[in-house]
Amino acid sequence: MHFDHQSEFAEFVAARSGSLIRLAYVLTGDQHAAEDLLQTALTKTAGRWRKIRSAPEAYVRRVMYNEQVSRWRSSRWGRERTAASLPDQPEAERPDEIETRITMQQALRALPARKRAVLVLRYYEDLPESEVAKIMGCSVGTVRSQTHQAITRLRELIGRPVTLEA
Amino acid sequence: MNLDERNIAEELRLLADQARPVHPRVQIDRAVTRSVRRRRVSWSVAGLAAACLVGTVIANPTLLAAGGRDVAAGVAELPDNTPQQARTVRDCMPKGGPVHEMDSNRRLPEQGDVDDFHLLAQYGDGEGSTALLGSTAGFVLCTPAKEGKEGDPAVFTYWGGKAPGDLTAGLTGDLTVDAYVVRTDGLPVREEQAKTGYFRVVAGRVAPEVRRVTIDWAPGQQADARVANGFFVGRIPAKHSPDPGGRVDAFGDPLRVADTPPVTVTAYDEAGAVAGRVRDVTYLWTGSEHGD
Repeated sequence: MHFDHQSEFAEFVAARSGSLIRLAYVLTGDQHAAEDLLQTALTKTAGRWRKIRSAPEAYVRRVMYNEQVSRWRSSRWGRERTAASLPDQPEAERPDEIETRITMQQALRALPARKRAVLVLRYYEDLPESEVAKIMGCSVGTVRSQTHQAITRLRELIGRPVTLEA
Repeated sequence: MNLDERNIAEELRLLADQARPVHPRVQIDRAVTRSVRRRRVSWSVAGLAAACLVGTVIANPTLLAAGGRDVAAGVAELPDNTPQQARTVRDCMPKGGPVHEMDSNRRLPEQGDVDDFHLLAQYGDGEGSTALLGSTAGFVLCTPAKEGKEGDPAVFTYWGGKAPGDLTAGLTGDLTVDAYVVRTDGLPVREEQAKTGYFRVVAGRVAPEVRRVTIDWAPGQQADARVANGFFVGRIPAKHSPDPGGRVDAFGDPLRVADTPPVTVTAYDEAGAVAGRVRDVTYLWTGSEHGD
């Protein structure tokens, strides 16, 4: 990598790593897996910096989704998983709210990677279905069905109905 | 609590809040190094395929310096630690050995135990010191943290830049540059504290007959490294300057970035003759492909 490009890359990572690790975390639900995912994406980004330096963040995010979905295709990552530990909760919430939140977060962590990815794209990133379809390499119809399946599975894991907006 | 799409978005944001920040510089180091290795592997595969096509057989490769001398034969051995040096090594590795580059609480036992490491060379100045700690497999650059601050994690690099690493790996002659990185004596707590306590560090290996190593940090800015036991390390405070692109930080102030121009490293023998020179070592270098 050219020296000037190294400097640009370093500044990009320094400025955006906070946001990117958050995205990696919601995709994986685990700190170490999130760090590995982000590192993989940044390595690929560094290798293609000359070509993608005008819009690096979009490239990193796309790589993270693709990597995560690739992992989903392997049996190791495709299985639903049990959350290893309960997340920390703010003390100000009522016990029933805490319980609901724990249940919801456990359910999100337990979702398979692809189902969680489609929820992250639609509701965390707030992307339109057409953009989600581009990133995931599928049709808009598939995005809709994947979203529906993900929410249905989430509802099953939580054990209560989920209200879908029109 | 109603479970609609807004709640899903909110829960995902709360999930994201549980992510622990990562250290950008470590990510940068590793990303650049790995991306270079990925390209090298690609070329290696292509080269291997080409070699197979023409029936080339590469057997028992021997690393030769200019003039045909066997470089591996001149590699220094690891020195014994004095009690003070052993304390320095232990202080640098409070977890008992190298740790994960992005999680200083995560030991990586496959990279060795604290007892495997020896203090090879140490550069001290008015602001502190940086030591090159090494095992037979690789090295750690240690810059003790200032009082009350969190220091750099004990991140390990294999000699030659790849596993399994040994003292002959990646040698490029009488002078081998193994690292050009930035290290700090205290990670900043707030962004405005980020511009002090950072040092550009260069380290590597030299043949036993090398007596002096100089580093040209910038045009007209040369300084001697510390040479000991066949290894060397040098450092200089890293300067920061406003981003040439005019970018600003989160507070709207000009973004300041570390100046890390390429360096030139020169080794001299006892008679003062140049034994080796490596020009234009680029920042974040942690392998061995340079050499005259």
